[in-house]
Amino acid sequence: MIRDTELPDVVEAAGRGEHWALTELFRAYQPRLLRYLRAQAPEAAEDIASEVWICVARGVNHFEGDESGFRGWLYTIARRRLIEHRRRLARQRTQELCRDDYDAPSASRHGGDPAGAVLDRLGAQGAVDELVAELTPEQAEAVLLRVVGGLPVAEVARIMDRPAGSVRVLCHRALRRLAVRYGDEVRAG
Amino acid sequence: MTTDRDVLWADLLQFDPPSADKVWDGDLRDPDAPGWYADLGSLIHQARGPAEVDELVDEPGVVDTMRRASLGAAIVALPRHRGVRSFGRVVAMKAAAAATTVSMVGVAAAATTGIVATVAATVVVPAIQEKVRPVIERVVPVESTHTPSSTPTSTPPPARPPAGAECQPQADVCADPSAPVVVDPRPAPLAEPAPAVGTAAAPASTEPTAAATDTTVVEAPPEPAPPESTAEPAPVDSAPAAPASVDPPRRDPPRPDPAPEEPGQPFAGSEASGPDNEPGAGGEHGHSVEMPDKAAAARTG
Repeated sequence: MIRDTELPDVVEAAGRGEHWALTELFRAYQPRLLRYLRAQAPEAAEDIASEVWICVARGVNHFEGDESGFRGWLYTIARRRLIEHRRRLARQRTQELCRDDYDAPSASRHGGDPAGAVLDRLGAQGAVDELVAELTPEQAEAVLLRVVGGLPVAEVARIMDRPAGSVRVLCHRALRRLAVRYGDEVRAG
Repeated sequence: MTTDRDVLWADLLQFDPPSADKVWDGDLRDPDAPGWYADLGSLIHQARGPAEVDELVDEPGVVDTMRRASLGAAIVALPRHRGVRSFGRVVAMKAAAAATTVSMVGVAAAATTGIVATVAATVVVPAIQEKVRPVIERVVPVESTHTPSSTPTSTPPPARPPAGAECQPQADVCADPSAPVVVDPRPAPLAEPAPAVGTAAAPASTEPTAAATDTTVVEAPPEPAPPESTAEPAPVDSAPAAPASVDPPRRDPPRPDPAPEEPGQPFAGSEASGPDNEPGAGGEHGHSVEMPDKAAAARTG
């Protein structure tokens, strides 16, 4: 993350095409952006992330706002690119199988202990996948934007084009699912 | 089994938005929280962890593309993910392997069933006989007038008939005044060193070598000519001049391969159809061609 005080200078320099500013933006936001995209479209996450960054580079000199606003703008672009990608997939009627599809998160492999699963995989992406494994797509998207994007409910609502209350309901239902799953598994383990 | 308390705790959070926000931030410190929330909090912290190696591996290419995009350059191609590239490569290789297998199976089936042999016998061979052979025959008769053998380069000329029969088909040849100009295989080795040394100074290229070949053939006869007939001053240039030069062939009937030229033709034709094209003479002639290269190589080396 870039601090609010530093962001205007970085954004201005990035608008001029200065390498250091673009690198700083990329290093600050690419990891979480990639986790968000990999959880949604693992087969094309890197491609979509590249498209997102090119859109950012083209429009960064017109950006005005704080750090939270920049994150919201970044994930708005990412979400639109995701929707375009899904439309392309729907037209092609074929879908590349990702390696993770063969190795999906499985609670049985870890003896039903999510903490053990996290420690076993030792990766941020593994934790993200575990978090949204049994959520509906809408719940997963809301949770990803809340957790991985670090966005407040109002920003998530704006990005998802929903009322804030609807986003809260989605997050609540996601929490109930997680409660059912982890509470049950811990007890079973 | 999930107890009611677990779900009830989750249900209660929806009436407390600040606490719900803290849940998803992983910062909730509620003593009433169930045990599974600790695991959920660890998952959330892990998901927000620092950058990993594979997440920044595309940085150079993407940042460079971003810089060009921010400067207004048209982006021709986006940096592609390796997984997609490798997937496409695998698909292409599999397609190529499938095509190769199909073609090999087809060829094997055709060879097994005899289709290829049948097609070759019924289509290819008649086509060759109808189309290709007349073209070859149109070219071959020109050479057959000069070389009696059907395979002049591979087989030696057949034995000549007796003397009486020899002169009859080649009467005009015997009467040809250019007959003594025909290169005699015996003096040729004597004349070889001269063009070889003379052309040694020339650059080793194909055209000077061909010129040296010509001079070898042309200049060879003058040396044997003076001992045989001094009355012939310039046997090479004045080929149709001296009728006395007819005598040497008559005196030397067992000459292995006269194959002379017609009066109007200079020596250029005699190289192609003369004794130098014979298997034995060709080696000598080739030797004279190679000499300049060897001499030049010896000088430069």
